[in-house]
Amino acid sequence: MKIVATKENLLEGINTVQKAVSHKNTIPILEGIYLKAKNNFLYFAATDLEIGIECKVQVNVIEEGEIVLPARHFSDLVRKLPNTKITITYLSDILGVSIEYNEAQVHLKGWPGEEFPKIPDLEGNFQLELHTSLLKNMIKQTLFATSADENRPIFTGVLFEINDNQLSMVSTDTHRLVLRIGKINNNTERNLNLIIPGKTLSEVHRIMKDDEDSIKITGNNNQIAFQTQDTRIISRIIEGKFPDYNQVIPTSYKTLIKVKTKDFQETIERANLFSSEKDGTSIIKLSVKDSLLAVLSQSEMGKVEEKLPIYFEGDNIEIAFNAKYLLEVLKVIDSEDINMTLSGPLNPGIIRPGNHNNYTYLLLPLRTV
Amino acid sequence: MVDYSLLPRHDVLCIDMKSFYASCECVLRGLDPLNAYLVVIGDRNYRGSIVLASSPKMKKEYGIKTGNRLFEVPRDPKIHVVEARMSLYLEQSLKIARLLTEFAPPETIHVYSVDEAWICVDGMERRLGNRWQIAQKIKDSIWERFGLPACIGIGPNKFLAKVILDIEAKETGIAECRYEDVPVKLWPQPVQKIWGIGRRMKVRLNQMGILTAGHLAHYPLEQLKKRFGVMGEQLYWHAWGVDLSPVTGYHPTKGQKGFGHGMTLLRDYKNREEIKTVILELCEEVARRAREAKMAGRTVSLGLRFSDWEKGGGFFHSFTRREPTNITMEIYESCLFLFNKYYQGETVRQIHLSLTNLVPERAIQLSLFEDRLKKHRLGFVVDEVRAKHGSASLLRAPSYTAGGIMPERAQKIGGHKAL
Repeated sequence: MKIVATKENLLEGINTVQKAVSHKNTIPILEGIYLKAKNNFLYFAATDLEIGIECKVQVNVIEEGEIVLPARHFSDLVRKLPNTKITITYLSDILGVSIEYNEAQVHLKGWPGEEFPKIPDLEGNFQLELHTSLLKNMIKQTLFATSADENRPIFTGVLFEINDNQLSMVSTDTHRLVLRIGKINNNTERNLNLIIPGKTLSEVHRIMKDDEDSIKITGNNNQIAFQTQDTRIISRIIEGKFPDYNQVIPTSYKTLIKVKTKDFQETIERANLFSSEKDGTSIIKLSVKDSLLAVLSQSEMGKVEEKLPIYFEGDNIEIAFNAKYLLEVLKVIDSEDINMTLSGPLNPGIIRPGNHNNYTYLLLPLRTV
Repeated sequence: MVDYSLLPRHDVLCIDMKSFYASCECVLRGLDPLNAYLVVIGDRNYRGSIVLASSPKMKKEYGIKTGNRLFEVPRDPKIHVVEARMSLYLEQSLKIARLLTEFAPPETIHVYSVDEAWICVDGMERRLGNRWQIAQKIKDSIWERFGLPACIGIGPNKFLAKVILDIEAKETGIAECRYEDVPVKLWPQPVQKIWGIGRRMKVRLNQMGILTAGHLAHYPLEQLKKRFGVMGEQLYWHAWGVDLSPVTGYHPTKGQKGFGHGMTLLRDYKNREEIKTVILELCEEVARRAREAKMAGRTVSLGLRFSDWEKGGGFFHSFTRREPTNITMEIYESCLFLFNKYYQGETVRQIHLSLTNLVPERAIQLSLFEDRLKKHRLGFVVDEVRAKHGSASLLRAPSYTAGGIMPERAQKIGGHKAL
């Protein structure tokens, strides 16, 4: 194998696949990045056997071949290289490569390319195509509400459900639940229902380029693959049954308020300043009375109290929420104002964008003691 | 070299009750603690029961000391073999702590264990005399009031007071180690005599050629840091007699960082279900104390030590929850996660778990799929029942299986019979 590339070429490939590199040390070769030079493309691949990512970058291939290089050393090195012509040549005597730039030469040992597990072509029993902008937005608006708790794997993923021409993505960490609905066209597939790991979606979000129009999704009952022009991600699916989200979203309410998203967000950010917790959790008390929304927070450091003008119908109410959970949703809602419906201090509150109905954020309150 | 003139010089006394449990038993039985032959054991019916304390005469003439086994105690009519009565010793210990407050204000006293305490007597000279005179007065009043012998170490900080107590005062009654005495008194001592160096640390130090405190004091600090991290630095400064920890203002409930409970099992546990039972019981204890303090914690840590014939070893791992909790079953759930992830069927002899990362409980985050409020209230109700009718009055069903420790533990203090 012998190629000539730029630092930019190499970095692009490394950055794309890096998150799939295994850190578990059980199979040493998985700590490497697989490189293959063929037809003027350099192919990159990495996998930890749960997720696999591969991509191709156009370079000047002088001799075809393959090799696996230790991910950490290879990427650290490339990041520190000067912006110049870089030649990578296979060295059979050390089973590695020689990386040459300017007058310098680096030798890096690796593993034989043929020992790297091939990232399989997926035998899909379904296939669809989505607009990248839609999928990007849907991931952004749902991924943050997944749980990090490996105890209950289904909550670390996002439910991906297709009914006719409607795609629903749902995530929950048991304290809140997000439902985002998107329209898809020309779906010829049967209905689908599967849970995609949060980590996979965050990688999918990363590889989608703004100048690309669509992304191809194929999958079966065990695996799912996302394919853009240059990159492919394949991932396992989380087994289990996602709770029936329709059942937990209430249809009636006692209080409705309408408030400017940005004002509300900034108010809570100020109120949250004195939070004693490092991760931004703190108790925010909301009190709705006579077309005013009072936001109150208090800690050992001090207190913040602000009143916001709102549109309001229904009962007066006092309710407490975790500031972090409010802020996270306000940051991803892209409408000028939001509707919030409440049904008493111990029942879930619902936040929706003011102008459309494709997004529902359900948040359980805090009971203060 | 350390410039001692820059270091604070306090008058710190470290008080130790000589053979505390044994002395208490002697007094309660009308025997002279210094001349009687008496050993305190855990359980008379169990020949392998451990000796918890022995009177000075037993130590000197028969070499029986804490850690020996019942079957090693000679059968001699003059030797009194008695079972522990922990609640009586605790009561006595509290009375002694109260006595100390007659000498100095409470914030200068740090009760370290049932039979050890530090007291800082800075500025008491006019009222009570110099540090030696005060030490003598304290020793005399404990003897007069309770008939219990005590030893006292004097130092410019807590560390030296404790160390000189261990290496000298236990023989002489009262001893002092000033900074100037460190090379003479501390340095010839083998490292394991230094407080804070246990069996395993001793082996590691010895392997580095460090046999005495003097060796440690002259070992390059950089190397120690590299090898042991911050602890290396502490070891080094301790070897020079330097300890900057505050000498007053210690209070156990201030800045409580966590609630922990540990248990050495009475036998080897191999069955997963049995081990889980004990974990659940410890969860209940930890959760109860958190609830009592109106605190909730996010980090749950589980430690298991394996039986000696597994060649020792064990693990200690933590899991941080998203939301703080003091609900027993939620703590248990996190423990099980750790247990299932790290336990591989070894024989277990010791279990420890703790809840840290505490916050005052001001609000409970409600959950979509379970009634957390109800679970939370349940904990308080159970606590109330137990407070009123005794800690074993209401137990979870697994506690009544073979693995359960609670029915028995309820009768004990510090792992030994309460009465």
